[in-house]
Amino acid sequence: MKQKTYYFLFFLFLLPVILYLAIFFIYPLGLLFYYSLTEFDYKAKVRYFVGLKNFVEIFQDPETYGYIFRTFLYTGIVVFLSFILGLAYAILVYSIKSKLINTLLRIIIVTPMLIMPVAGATIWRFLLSMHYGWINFILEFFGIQRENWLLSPYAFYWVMITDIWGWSPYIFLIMYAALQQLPQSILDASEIDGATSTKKYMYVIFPILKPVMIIALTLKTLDTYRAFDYIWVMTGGGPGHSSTTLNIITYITAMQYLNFEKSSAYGVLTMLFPLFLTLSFLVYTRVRKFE
Amino acid sequence: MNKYFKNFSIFIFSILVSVWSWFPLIWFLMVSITGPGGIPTKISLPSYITFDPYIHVIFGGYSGGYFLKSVIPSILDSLIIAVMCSFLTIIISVLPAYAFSRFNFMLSKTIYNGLLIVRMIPFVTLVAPYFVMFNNLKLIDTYHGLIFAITTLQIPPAIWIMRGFFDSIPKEIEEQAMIDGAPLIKRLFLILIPLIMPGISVAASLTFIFSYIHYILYSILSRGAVNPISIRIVTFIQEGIVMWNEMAATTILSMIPMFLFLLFLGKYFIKGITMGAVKG
Repeated sequence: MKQKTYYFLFFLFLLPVILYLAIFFIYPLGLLFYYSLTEFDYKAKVRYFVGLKNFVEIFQDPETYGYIFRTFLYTGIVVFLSFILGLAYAILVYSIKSKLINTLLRIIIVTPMLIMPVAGATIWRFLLSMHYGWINFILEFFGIQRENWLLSPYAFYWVMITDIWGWSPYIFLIMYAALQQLPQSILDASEIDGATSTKKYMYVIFPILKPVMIIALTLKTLDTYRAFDYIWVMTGGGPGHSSTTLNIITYITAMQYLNFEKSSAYGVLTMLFPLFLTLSFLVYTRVRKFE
Repeated sequence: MNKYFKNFSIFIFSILVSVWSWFPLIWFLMVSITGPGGIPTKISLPSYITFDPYIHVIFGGYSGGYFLKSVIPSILDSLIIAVMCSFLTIIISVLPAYAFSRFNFMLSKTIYNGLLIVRMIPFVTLVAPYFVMFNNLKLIDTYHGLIFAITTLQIPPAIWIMRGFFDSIPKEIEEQAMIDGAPLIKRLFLILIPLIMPGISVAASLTFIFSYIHYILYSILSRGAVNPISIRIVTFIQEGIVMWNEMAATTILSMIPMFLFLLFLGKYFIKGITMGAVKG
């Protein structure tokens, strides 16, 4: 094939996706950056450049630092605990030899992930409610007073627990698939050498799984950073601003205060971390390939 | 002794994991089959059982002084959007997946990695431009508007998955067909695409489920005429109406299509989730 036809063919194949993403992704993305640098005069109906004014306004608002802090707090705690829990699930299921119980447990573990986040949030809202909530029943049993948890300062942490409940199966699925692909010969060899199962995991299995773990962690971090549904449905960012993250404030500014310009500025700010993480992930995979 | 201890602890942990994963769900199921005053306020079972909540939400009707619209149209809306989105996603991304699999040069890799960005940035950041853009295009509150919006999110994973399947087809098959004189179009549609049918199923399942459970885009683009079930559940809460029984019934009903789907196509979905990560 001639070089020219080669490239022509490639772009011909790519045409549908390029067109589609140009309209529904790149154009809105451009609009986002444009809006974040402008202001709209509703009386004169003109849009004019104001430079970085929106960003300056955002950073002059002391609340913004709280949003940023909470976004990373949420991501950090949820990713860390989901990862531990997901890995524990995977090891547990992996160590069950009976085929039936194995399948059954897998179905049970995966279920929360398959409930739509909005529904999961509703369920947990109920579990946390003052009069009917089981969380309160159990805590009362241990002598802790009933409380309307989603209106308390702990609301944010309960949302995190819901997120862990809902999406740790994701880590489980990935880690379990990876465990199943381990070569049996290595495991046998380590057993012959007399490794106990703790040692087997620490020194044999985990080092082999390290690349998968890094991928799983990266994907999970990006997914958790995006978290919106659970927070929005359970607390709506409240009480006060105590569970408002960058995602929530971007949404609220646009859809409730109808301030598209400021919302776009928040949007640009929100985007920075995932972009950075994605790029460093790409660099990491490239470096690994050359090793 | 040691072995018994191990088995015993595995047993205990399995029970704990099951309770943690399923208890909230089972409890909500209980709530959905009891009426006003039936929900216990301490550790016990519902005091009586009735299917009224389901009747209220399926057929619509008055409950506690509020008029409830039937939720079946909402579930249908969600299903329509999810199915159409799956079709559109596959149609758009099957050819690019082939291109990324067979054309290997610098630019192709860059574009492929660029797709990662579409998937990785939080979509809620685009709320304002999306709202303005769809408003200008008169796409708000229409089926095609919602379908177009949600498809954007689903394209990159679909391409990754199908590319993986194209990669696994041996080049010899294609070369053989080329020698036999089949033109590219014929090779593609008569040989390659039938061969990656499993890949298409995986991508379509993933797309179906993620567009069924989506919330953000629907919430900015739906204004009542098209009312997906995820929006419906949230409106229940946000209107401040506390009808836990009906709310539970709606939530359980919303899960039924998902469970049916997973019963038959669950393995494709799980394959889709794990594929990208495990293969690297």
